[in-house]
Amino acid sequence: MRRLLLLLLMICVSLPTLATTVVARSVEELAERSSHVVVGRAVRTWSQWNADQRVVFTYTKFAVERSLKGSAPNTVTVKQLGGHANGVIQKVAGARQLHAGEAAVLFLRPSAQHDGTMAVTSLMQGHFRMKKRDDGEIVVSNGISGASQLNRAEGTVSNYKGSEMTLRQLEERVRKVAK
Amino acid sequence: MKRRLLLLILIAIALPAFSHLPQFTRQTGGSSVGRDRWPSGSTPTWNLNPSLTGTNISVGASTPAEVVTTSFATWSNAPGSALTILRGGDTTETAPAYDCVNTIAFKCTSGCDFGTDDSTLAITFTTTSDGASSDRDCDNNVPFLGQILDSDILFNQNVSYTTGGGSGQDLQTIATHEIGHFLGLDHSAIVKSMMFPFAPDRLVTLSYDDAAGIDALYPVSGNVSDECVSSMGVISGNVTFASSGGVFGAHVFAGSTTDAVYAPWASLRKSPIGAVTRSDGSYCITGLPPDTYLVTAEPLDGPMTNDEIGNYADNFGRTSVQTNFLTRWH
Repeated sequence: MRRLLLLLLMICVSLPTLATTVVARSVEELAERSSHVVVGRAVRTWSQWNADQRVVFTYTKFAVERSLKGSAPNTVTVKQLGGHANGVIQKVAGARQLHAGEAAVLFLRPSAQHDGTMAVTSLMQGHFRMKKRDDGEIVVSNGISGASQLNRAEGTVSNYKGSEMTLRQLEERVRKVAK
Repeated sequence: MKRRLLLLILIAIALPAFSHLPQFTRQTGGSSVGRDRWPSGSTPTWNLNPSLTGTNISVGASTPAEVVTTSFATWSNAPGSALTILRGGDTTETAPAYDCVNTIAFKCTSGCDFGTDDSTLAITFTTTSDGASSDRDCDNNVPFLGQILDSDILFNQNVSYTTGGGSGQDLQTIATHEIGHFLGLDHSAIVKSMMFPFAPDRLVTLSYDDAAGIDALYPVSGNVSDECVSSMGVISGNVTFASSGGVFGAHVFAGSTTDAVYAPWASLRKSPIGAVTRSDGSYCITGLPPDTYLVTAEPLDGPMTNDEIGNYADNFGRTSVQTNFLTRWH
């Protein structure tokens, strides 16, 4: 069943994802677009209004265990649009917020506001959640199923990455880009 | 018998992993969960920033403003829905905000964090009530849990768009999908439904699944807080384990077993319609046109999984949907 459903999805591999709407990026493309790629764990999250009380941002203190690209400090602050404050919840359709305690690989770049915080590259695509498989292997997923890249010039589809790969595979792919 | 069983299996495996789903808001300090939607009988109004300065839109036969108007009309004209949407006065807003202006802008100058990246084509930014605040909504009413208070759609100015067959992303396709979010819909896994998370080059009409989704949020009649109310047919039931209660997060969908086309929905693409079970295993598949259906309950164990349905489990105080069961047909 998985194989046939996968086949069904592969029909759509050339398509941009509408998450909100994003173009599916490969690990390599995400790494190229990021100043930092880090492995670690969310320690604390909080939400607050911006200065003019129009938008809520969620901030996450993220403890960095190791950097795959760039030289990150021990802790970085990640800023994401949306959150919960004063009776309202703001959300970007389809995007995920980090949760305290969550282990993840994050593809990051400085926030556009240049306030010392970092933004997740390509919305939720740069947020890979980690979990341990029954065999002990750690797998990661950014929730973009069946996403591959279409080479429009050649009409070929490549870099199928599925929704899941091992942490080791992801690290190897990032490090090749970071060299 | 064997052949019949094989046929049923083939029907089931060709179907996607989940179908239309509303976005949810969980009550602050409580366990209630509300579907995100505009108030019944209200008329959501959208306000366009028509400026194309600093954008990269190839304008064809239709202007971008006309494309957005048409995209809203696609949803408001969905058969069986009581939804009415109006275009209000133009705005100069270029950022998401809870300001009682439902901005549609072709660029985002702050807040979106697009940077110079063109990976994100557009975002829909929605503000909903957490059901615990006494603050009034934009019409000075006390909002209900999940009530949409404000919704903005911001297109990424780094992306090349077209309004009519040129190179670039088709503006109407993206706009129509985002408007589904604007109205409270989450993603669907019905391939080629408007709310499917992968966009084709051009797709501007709704599927049965989209129509059922909007009908569930804005039914013509009945108590909208009852999630089993629909202008169309309803199939409801429970998915349970043999010995340990309801299955949370099972995908249950009704697929037509005939070639029949429901005449009032002739303009829509025929597709399965489905639902995801709640904590107690209950489900209601609403918005069903007259037909004969095969109902399938399946685990969200791939390729669509818990990760692809956003915060569904979080909203019900669970860490994940349950997938420890086998697909069943009835």
